[in-house]
Amino acid sequence: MRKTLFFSFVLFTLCYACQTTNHLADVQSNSVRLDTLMVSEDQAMLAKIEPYRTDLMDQMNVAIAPLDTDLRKASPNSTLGNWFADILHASGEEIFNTKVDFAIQNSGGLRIPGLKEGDITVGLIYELMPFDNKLHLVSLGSAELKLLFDKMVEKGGWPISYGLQMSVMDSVVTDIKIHGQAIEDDKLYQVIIPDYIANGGDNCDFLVPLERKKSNIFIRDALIDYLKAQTEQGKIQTADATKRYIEL
Amino acid sequence: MMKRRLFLESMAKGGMVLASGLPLGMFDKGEITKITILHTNDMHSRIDPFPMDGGRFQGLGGMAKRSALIKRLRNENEHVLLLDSGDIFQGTPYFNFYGGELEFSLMSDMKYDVATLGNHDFDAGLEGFTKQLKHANFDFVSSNYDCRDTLLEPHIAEYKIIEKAGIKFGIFGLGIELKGLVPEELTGGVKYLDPIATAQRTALTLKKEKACDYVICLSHLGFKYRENKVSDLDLASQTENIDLILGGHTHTFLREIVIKENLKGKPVCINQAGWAGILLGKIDIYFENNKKSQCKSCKNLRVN
Repeated sequence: MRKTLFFSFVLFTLCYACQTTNHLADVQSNSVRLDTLMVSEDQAMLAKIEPYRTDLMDQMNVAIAPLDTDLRKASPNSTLGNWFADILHASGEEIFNTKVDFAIQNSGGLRIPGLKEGDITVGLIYELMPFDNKLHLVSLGSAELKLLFDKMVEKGGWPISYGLQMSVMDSVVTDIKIHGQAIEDDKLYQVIIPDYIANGGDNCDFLVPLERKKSNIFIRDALIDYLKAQTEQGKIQTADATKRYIEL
Repeated sequence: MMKRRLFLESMAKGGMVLASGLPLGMFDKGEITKITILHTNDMHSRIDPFPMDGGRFQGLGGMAKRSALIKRLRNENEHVLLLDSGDIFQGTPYFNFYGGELEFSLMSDMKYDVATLGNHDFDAGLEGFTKQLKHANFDFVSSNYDCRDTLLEPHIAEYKIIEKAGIKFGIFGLGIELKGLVPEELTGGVKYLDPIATAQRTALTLKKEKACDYVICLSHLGFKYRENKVSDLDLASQTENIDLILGGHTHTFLREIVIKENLKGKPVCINQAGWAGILLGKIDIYFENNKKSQCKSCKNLRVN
């Protein structure tokens, strides 16, 4: 018994001594920048990408709607802003299947200075709205509406849809009309807002706790679908230069 | 404290010196093995290089260029691991139109080993993600996304163990909190678990129970935050048994690895390779195979 124990001990010691391990000896990092000077490209991979790229180009170049005049982006009022917000309003009503009071869009979300007269392509819509923003239908009471309008004034005015008219004097909101009516204190208003803003973006934290319906459709896709449907109905896109944000 | 800091700094700066200082004879005798870790993060569907439109990143990146580089590095280095830290999806129309098929397929061609999920990898929902997995010939890991009873369950492992040249690598993944970042409809019941506690548990399993020589965390937590939000720096200092954190989410371009002390004062390396495939992260790790109590080349890196 004693002998066995002794041998076990010797064996254990020997094994332990001869057991090897992987010691971490050194670590060095040298990341590589993939720049234009590196001419070589994997030709087989390029060939694999090519049909996708061609197909993508073909799809981006698809004309979806004719536009009969130039649309330009500006603040607080602009033809591009009116056009965009109006589409949010109309397609939002279809998506949520309900009547809405108005729609807003933050200026920063529109990424091109305008659209030229002619065909609007899918690619142009991607350039206009590259973000994967989605639509929320948010219920706002009179107090929250006031916060929202103050924020919009602070930001120099955002694109707003038909149905809303703001009068502003010296950066103070003096009058609001929603479909021609003054704001009613105990009414909840249904407003189409991009999720970026509805989730508190651009310091709109006050919108976060509000009751809402969410859509999983990207604004970009909603725009494309709406324009396609309009074109099918023979409608031509045009400018609406109405001032909805009136500076007194 | 001062001493420790100097030591860590010298480790960070001295990488190249140390490497060239390793005795060549030991390479010849096979006592030192070099493992090359290549990694990306936040590739965001950037299949093509950035267009030549005068933008800041024009001409940079591109999957075909990366593939050629990886092939070259595989020729030059015998033992390579290729890893990704998430946000493979979303950012160019390639994703909008093909749902991630091309991203997964090209990554498979490059022979990626393991990837973790970023928040944008949920953008097409669990269904959209799993639908594309037939194009992914590599594994996905996540330890802190509890995928039980969801579509992801059969496809996401807690960790993977890969052996290269007799060295055991334990690789696990950590994802960012999805609430507020990804709409709940898209995360389909995936539960977010505390990353620090999860990492601590998983890394212990890998190091001790599974006897891994080296533990790598693919993290999509983000490198550093001003606000109170778990970052890779927190992860490094509040855990033990992690050797390397390959990060993502914050699109951080690190010139070289950052080295932090873990809970036990041991060094943890952190790296992040920007985004969009502009950088290919490259880390060479040298191991000396020797008796447990003896390491001839380790004098500068007192790990273990």
